[in-house]
Amino acid sequence: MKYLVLFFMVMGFFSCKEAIKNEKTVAEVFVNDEKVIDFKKPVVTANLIMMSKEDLLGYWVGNFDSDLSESEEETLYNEDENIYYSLHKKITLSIDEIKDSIIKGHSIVGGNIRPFEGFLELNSNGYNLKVNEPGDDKYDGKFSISIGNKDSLMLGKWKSNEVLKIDRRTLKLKKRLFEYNPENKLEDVYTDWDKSRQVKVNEGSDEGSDEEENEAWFEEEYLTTTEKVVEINASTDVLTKDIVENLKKSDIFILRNSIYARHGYSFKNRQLRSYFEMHDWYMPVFNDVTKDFTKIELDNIDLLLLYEENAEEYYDRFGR
Amino acid sequence: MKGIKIALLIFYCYFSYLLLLITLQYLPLNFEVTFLKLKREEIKLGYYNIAFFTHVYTSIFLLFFGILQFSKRLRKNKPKIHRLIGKLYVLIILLLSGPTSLIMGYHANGGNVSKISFMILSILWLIFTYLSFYHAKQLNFKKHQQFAIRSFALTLSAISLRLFKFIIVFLCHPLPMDAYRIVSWLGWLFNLLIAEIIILYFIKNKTKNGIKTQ
Repeated sequence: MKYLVLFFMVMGFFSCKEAIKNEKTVAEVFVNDEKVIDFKKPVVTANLIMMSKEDLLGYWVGNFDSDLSESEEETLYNEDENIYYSLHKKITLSIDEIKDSIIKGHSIVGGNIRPFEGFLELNSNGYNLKVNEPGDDKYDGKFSISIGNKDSLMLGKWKSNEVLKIDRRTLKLKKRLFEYNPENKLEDVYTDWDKSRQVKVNEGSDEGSDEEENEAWFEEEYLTTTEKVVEINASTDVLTKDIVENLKKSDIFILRNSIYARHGYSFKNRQLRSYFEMHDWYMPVFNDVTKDFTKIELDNIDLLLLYEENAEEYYDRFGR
Repeated sequence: MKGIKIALLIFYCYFSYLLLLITLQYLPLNFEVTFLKLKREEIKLGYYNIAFFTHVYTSIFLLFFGILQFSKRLRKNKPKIHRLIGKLYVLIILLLSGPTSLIMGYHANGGNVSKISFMILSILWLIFTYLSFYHAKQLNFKKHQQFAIRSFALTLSAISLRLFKFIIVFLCHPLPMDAYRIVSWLGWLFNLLIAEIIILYFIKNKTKNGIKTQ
């Protein structure tokens, strides 16, 4: 009995010691700091169907799926179960400048922004675009895209310069006008499938039986937010200390990033990207949006960041 | 009995050590520690800073002085030392740690729920400590002991509050400030309950058995 009490005490000591350590170290915070590449902002027409050459200018958003054969995809699946994300990507093509037959713009795939340049051909059916990315990035390649007159769907292919697992893809894009709307709402809680810990689960144990006899296994427990992220809009609500101090760290993190998402920030973090891509209003088009924040948003980011830096990491899941 | 006493003492020393570590975060004078970072508004009030650092720097001694007063050997063999330490303990609480905790309680995180709790805690702490001193002066040692136990129970809320927080978060993952509101009450009410149980049963039993407490 005495040993048992001592044992629990020692265990308690270890866990509490951790608690203090946590207080001392400031948790790492995702900060959206990336090199900013400047592009000419195109004069976008409101036409979503091709009436003239100028209607090409703007953001074309859609799927960027692999063009591999089924057997090739199957081999990739066998190598890596998570390949699905890589096979099915989203792309934003921003066509920024058209000068005679020279066309300039940039592509955004998974937060990776690459400029491109090439030629525009006009024929009787419509337009053909042949553009190249500069080629100093492993994932650069060549696009060949076409769109018919009075059509709204842009179809094309992409071929990588270097040998990649997925070296060719198809594009299926529609023009979308980017509009900042602070009222855009988050629709669901966020789960980070990359951040988890193993949790021991015990099969209902009979009293008196030995520890080892009980069946126990480990289950994955993921970092999630609470429903609060759906209730609060960090772009329109003036957040106060009273609200923020009762939020979990993950909630604060998502609320802060929702401001970036509303402004069309293109996230590099895969989990954040796929979370915001669930929302119809989300359009990843920029890699620096900090200049566009409103006063409310700037103040909210300030406050959220303060609590994010000082909240206990994984308050409910890990550590402690 | 002796085993439990030693275990409790180890327990006590360990948590005092943890509190010492927390205190040392503020040495040298440091405004960049978690707790103060979230007190931006209060820091602008000059008196809050004075209260905060006075409380942090003085309270850690109370844990050291307080536990010594419960040593029977010290009380019997070196009553002068018992009196000296007792005076220091009372002085620190009545002049420094106690009033400053009342100021901090007024500015506590978590709204009125925790503010009221911390302010009641501070006031009771001051009263019990003073009464313990008063009854000692009156040579009413039974009452002196009762109030000393109550005062020390509230002193120990520094440990129990943090320990309860750890346990509650571990067991039921409440929202951070909800957890704080719960422990702001639990942290000292539980201690006071234990103190009353000790006073009622433990000390009574002793006199019943014909053993003088003082």
